[in-house]
Amino acid sequence: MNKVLSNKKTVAIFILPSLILFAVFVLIPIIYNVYISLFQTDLMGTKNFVGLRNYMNLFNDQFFLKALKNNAMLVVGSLIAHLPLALVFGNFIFTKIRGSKFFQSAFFLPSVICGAGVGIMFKMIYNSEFGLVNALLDLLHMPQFKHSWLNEEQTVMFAMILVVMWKFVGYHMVIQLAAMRSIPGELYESARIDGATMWQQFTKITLPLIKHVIRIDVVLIITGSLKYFDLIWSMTKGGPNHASEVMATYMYYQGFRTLKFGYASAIGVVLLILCTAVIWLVNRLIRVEKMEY
Amino acid sequence: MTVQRRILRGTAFLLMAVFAVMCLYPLVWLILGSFKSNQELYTNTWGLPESLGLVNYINAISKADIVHSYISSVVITVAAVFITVFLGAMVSYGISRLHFKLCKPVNTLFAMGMSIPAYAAIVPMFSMFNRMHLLDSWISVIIAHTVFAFPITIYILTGFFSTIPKELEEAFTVDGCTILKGYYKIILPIAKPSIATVSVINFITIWNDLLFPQIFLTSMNKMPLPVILTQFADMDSTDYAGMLAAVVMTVIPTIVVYLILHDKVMEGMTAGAVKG
Amino acid sequence: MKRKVALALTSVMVLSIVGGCSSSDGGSKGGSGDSGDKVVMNMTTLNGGTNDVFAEALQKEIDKFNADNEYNVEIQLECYSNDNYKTKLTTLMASNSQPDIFYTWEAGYLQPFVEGGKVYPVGDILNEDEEWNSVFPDKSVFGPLTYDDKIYAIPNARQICVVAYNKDLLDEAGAAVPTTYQEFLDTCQKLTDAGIQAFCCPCGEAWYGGMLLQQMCNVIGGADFYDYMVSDEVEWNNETFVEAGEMLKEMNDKGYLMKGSLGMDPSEGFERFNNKDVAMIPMITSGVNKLIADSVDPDQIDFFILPTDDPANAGVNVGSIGLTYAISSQAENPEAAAAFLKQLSLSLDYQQDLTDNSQVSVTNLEVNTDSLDPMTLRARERFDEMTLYTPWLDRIYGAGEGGEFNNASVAILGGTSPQEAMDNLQQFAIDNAKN
Repeated sequence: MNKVLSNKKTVAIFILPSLILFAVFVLIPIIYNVYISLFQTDLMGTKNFVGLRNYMNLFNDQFFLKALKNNAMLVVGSLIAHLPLALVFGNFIFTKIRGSKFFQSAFFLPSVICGAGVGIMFKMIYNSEFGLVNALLDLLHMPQFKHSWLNEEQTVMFAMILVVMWKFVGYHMVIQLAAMRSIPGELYESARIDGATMWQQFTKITLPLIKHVIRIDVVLIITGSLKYFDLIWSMTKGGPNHASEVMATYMYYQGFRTLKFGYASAIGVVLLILCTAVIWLVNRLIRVEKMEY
Repeated sequence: MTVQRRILRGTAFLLMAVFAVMCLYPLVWLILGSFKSNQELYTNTWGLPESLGLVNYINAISKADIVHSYISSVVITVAAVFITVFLGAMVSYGISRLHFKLCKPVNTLFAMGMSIPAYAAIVPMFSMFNRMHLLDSWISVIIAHTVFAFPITIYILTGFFSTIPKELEEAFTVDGCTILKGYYKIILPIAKPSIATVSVINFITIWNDLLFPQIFLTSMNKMPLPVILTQFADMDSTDYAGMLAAVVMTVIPTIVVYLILHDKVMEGMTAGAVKG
Repeated sequence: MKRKVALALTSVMVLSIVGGCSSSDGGSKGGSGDSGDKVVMNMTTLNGGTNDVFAEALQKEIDKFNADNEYNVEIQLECYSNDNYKTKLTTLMASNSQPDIFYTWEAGYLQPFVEGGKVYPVGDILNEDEEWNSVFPDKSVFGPLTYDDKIYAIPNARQICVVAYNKDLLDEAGAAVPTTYQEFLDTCQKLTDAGIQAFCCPCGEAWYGGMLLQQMCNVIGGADFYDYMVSDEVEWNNETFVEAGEMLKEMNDKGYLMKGSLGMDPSEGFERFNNKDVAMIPMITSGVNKLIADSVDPDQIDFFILPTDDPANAGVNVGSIGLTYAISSQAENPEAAAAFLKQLSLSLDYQQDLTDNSQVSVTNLEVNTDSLDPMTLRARERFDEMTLYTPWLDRIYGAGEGGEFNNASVAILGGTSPQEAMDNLQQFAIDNAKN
């Protein structure tokens, strides 16, 4: 058996095409990024080797530190919202609550709209004069809470996190739902016969059996939050005054606007290290055994 | 159902309903807004439009070459998703089921791809495509999307493949079937739910992507929808109403695709859940 | 079902390969045409929104040039919207495949490209060509395009910052059109007393705030301070900057600025102005055609330049050139490219198109202003008051310090003390120089 499974020709057919494409178009750019991050360059005339100075400057750069903090907030906010909410809603739909089919599609729709579209919508919703949020606050007789949500440095990141939550809860729910649906129904039947409550079924059967998908989802959420660009750029461009800056937008700004490609690449490398560390950590913390039934 | 159960189910339903409203209302607003004029958007933001005039849509179609961009979006997205899933599933299978020395490093390499944001790779990729004379061709965009979609695809699919019992390969190789044939005839059909999930994920990401087409393409008639959306914005004046109409036109196919694939997913999942 | 799906997918893939390959015309930069017939050069410009008309006008000139030029060159135009353009051009420059002719902004934007050796010194050709040279009566338009005494791009238009105001609203409040800064404050106060919103500065785009702050610097410091602002010795927390910041803050504190200005999108700002919700709004002259709406009578709208108390500083106003094009240092035939730019400068049709769309030409061609509406004509008259054009600081200093200057103005409007905002800016400038 082992001989068949390790047959060189078979391995080559399955692995090589993708590996080659990937190596050329992703790995080489990554290596290039690491290389460039050791220079101070605008990729045109200037190219000075500066070693690790870009990295040292990064950690003294108030805007980068702000971006790091914002990314952390985004990660935490996303984890809190997407994981529990997606699981709970997913479970409701899985246990065939009334209107499941409708809810499933409804929740998924926000993730389908492109970043630019969501950006416009929420710019209007958060508008301080005629926006929906402030209008609702008026309706609820709470005008003291009204803010210019996207334009005040204290509120912008919270407003942003809410939009990201809005967009992706349904997305993660669908992923988890797919996993839930691959659990054989007999397990639940026998549990019900034994008198297990809904909650027990959820925690003792569903959760453990979709653990591997939860792990994937956690990785997706965290790396996605660290890399996120589209919505933030289309809503505030990292403003006002860098209050909603994240690493990806700051990297774009340093590279493509101020032409400091060496500095931008350093940010890219930091992002790379952070994401890789996260993936390794999550794989460690959420151990998954192979489930065979 | 007991009373307690009914109350719980009722609360659950209420929660879901509230969230559904939160999800759908902005979309409804989007559609209503696309029928308003720019001025009306500011004066009558949340109400019903005065008239259901198709002015914005006609404007969007004529001005922004929407038809060509629809075709571009479809070609790029479908091709990229197909290649990603096709190759990605093979690599995932290889990593999780075949035995070869570099298995773990290869897996790690692909995982690293999840850590890199697209903007970091733009300049080197541009140079490479330039040298290969692939610029201003859909192929460059398709390749770019495919390679950037590999990490997630492979991560999810390896997770799935590792849950298949090992006996399966033994079973079909004993009958004289090659691994390749067994892969297509037996393994892939079982993987339908995961493949559907991965296809939907990638479809959405690629359909909505702005960066790669913008950088690697130059002819306007090859630009997909998200790029066209930016046509409506200017330095200090944006035709929001027109943009909304264009956004609605961008969103509808994705919704349609989701609704279609969603049914296939349901079909595939219920088939796979019953173990024979 | 499976077979149909597979068939459909295969055909899509084939389509993509065929479609993608066959219509890639002139994709590579500075490219060679087919079998040595014509040299193809590519040109990039902005489109989208108000830029569409200029892209169309450019295409007409290109068609003329392609039909008949002595260099056997064909130009192909590529258009991108504003935001995309900056990303695209930077990528092209960084990969050494910049377009043969490209739209550019002046001063600090073009400078890195010039220093990187990517731009052709078109001034060399301009200076040798008397016919072309004579079309530019005011040579100061080349100021922001001159590096190391060489000219690197050709402008076509000029734009200044003006304050648009609604005559009816001012009359209603009994306020006069101000001729000094003190009168300007009085006008704002009279409007506020009459219950009319005086001023709107839509800082959703941070450069609006920066533009206003810069103009206040001009009002206080005039030409001398401008020289200081653009010199190497500039310190952003200089007392004049702080004083200008205080003036900005004063407008906010006294309620002259419209509520919601902080995050207001310029589109919204103009809607409000057109709706008579606010009496005054700063704008660039090239955007005057945005002020035409069904609800407002154009005769009510007039313009003034933010006035100063010190007569010595009169006419020192934020403004610069626009619709500027440069040539790549790698262009296969720079003389042909220069010939095309010369055609633009000398083309009455093109300059007329610009004029018809609220631009003011830098050439001395006799454009016909009869077809222009009175409101646009009134905006044009403000150019007569200019004594010194001070380009927007974010163009002079580029995205780094320039962008932060804009951010500082927004911070001041958001409540930060001017001293603190300018101190932060100075600190940023120092740190930035190290990167």
